[in-house]
Amino acid sequence: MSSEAIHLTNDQQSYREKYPELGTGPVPVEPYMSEEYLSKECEHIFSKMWLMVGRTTRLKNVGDFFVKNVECLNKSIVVAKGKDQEVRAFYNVCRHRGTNVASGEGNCKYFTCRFHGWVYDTDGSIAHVPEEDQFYQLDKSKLNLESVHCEIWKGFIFVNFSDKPRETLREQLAEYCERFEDFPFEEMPVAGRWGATLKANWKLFQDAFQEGYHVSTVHAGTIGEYFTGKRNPNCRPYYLGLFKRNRSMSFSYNPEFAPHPSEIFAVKAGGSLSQGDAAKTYALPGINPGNDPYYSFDVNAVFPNWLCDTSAGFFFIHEFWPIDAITTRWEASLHFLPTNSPSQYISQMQSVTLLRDAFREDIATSEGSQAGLMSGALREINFSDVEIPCRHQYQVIQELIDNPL
Amino acid sequence: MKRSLPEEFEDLEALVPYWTRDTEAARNAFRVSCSIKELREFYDIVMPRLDALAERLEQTTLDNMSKEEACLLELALMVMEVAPAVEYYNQPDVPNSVDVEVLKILPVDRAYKITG
Ligand code: FES
Ligand SMILES: [Fe+2]
Repeated sequence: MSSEAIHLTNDQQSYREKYPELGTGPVPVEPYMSEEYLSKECEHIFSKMWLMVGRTTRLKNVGDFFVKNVECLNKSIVVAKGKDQEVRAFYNVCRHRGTNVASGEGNCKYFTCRFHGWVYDTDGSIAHVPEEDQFYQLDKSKLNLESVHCEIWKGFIFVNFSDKPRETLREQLAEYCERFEDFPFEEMPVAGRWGATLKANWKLFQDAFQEGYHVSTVHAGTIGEYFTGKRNPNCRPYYLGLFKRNRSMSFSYNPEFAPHPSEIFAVKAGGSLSQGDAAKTYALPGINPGNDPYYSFDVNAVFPNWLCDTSAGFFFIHEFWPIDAITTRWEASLHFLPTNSPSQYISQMQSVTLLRDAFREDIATSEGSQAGLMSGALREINFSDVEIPCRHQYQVIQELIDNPL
Repeated sequence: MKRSLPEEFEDLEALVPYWTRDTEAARNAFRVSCSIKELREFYDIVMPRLDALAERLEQTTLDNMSKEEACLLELALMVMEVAPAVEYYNQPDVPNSVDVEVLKILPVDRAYKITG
């Protein structure tokens, strides 16, 4: 075994030493199940922070739009591309009596409220009020759809529901802005996109994607061996960094993994999650801090509810939206560098299939974990040194509740 | 009979009506509706031909495919969908997971264009 990999198997608690301020004690279960706690998170976090709601690639043409629901804030917004090519976000709420003006996604010339037919332009401005002369004192200049702060970083659309955002989007993204400034997110089309509404707290489910400790067990039937093996039996991150409210970790692939025919094909034709020799072929700016020779991918947690996981030639993202304290709406997607090669596209589907199936394993254990917490049998949770990202998320949220922005 | 695959893959012709789907959602729904025996039979026929299939498809590009090439591509995509069931699960669906309906496979833009 090479010396650089010792910290993947030794008994040193490396992260506790690096981040003593996080403490080592157990964490209470309440934040993972209480409605009262969620209402605090809504007040101090979801109402104040920039939230990633989708990619500009969903808004290619003038009039393209999608609706995004933020259930925990009772909000629904429309994100649309106007005639001036600007992407805007506004409340999906008619200025007459409040009905939604759009649903789902699509393309339109105007948004028309289906209650009494008020019409809005794709930039949110009021275009037509039927029987306008029957109103008493209608100031049409005040009847545009209520706008929501909207900013774009690398093709990711963020909104902010506060009147005046406490931080700029770049301040919130912090070190990611520089690290991934040259990562070609915008150019990478979506290969697979998935969603689920599941019975687990949003943080509990997010935690399933920011530690490798579960990989050898939960994913024993799928991708487990991609990331475990002799060099790193418990899928420890070879790199971990905490940055204010964000965190980033990097994982290695298992050089001794014995590939099946589908993986042998995929590796040859373009790449596979199973091994990272692709890392050399498709190296992209910002990935693999520390230059691990067996680099596989980075998990980048962007506070509060977004993971943007980067790798060589691909990235995948997760959004975690609380519906109530124990229900989460999750959306995920996998993106590759653009290709016009049929065999490379076939190879992408190998990763799409196995990653998707592995996500279903994560949903199952997370729902099981939530059900266990709901039983009341546990008062607290013990996070290990390699689960420090979960502890960090808890601490950051608690801090924002105790000392609001 | 009308040919739906490029000539040199005539031997796979009989699979086409059952095993070609143009979306991930449809491929997954079909996989979990099959028996593992059916999946293995399909896999055993097509997996050994996958290199040849890919090589043939490399004569074209995703944005410029004939109907026959697109059909061949869809067979290959189905192999990628079926492979984990045969290579890992030994059953059509992933074990120890939630019901297949829980995870919704959402639509994405189709990556290939049929021009011929
Ligand atoms: S509520 Fe929209 S037109 Fe009346
Ligand atoms: Fe997982």
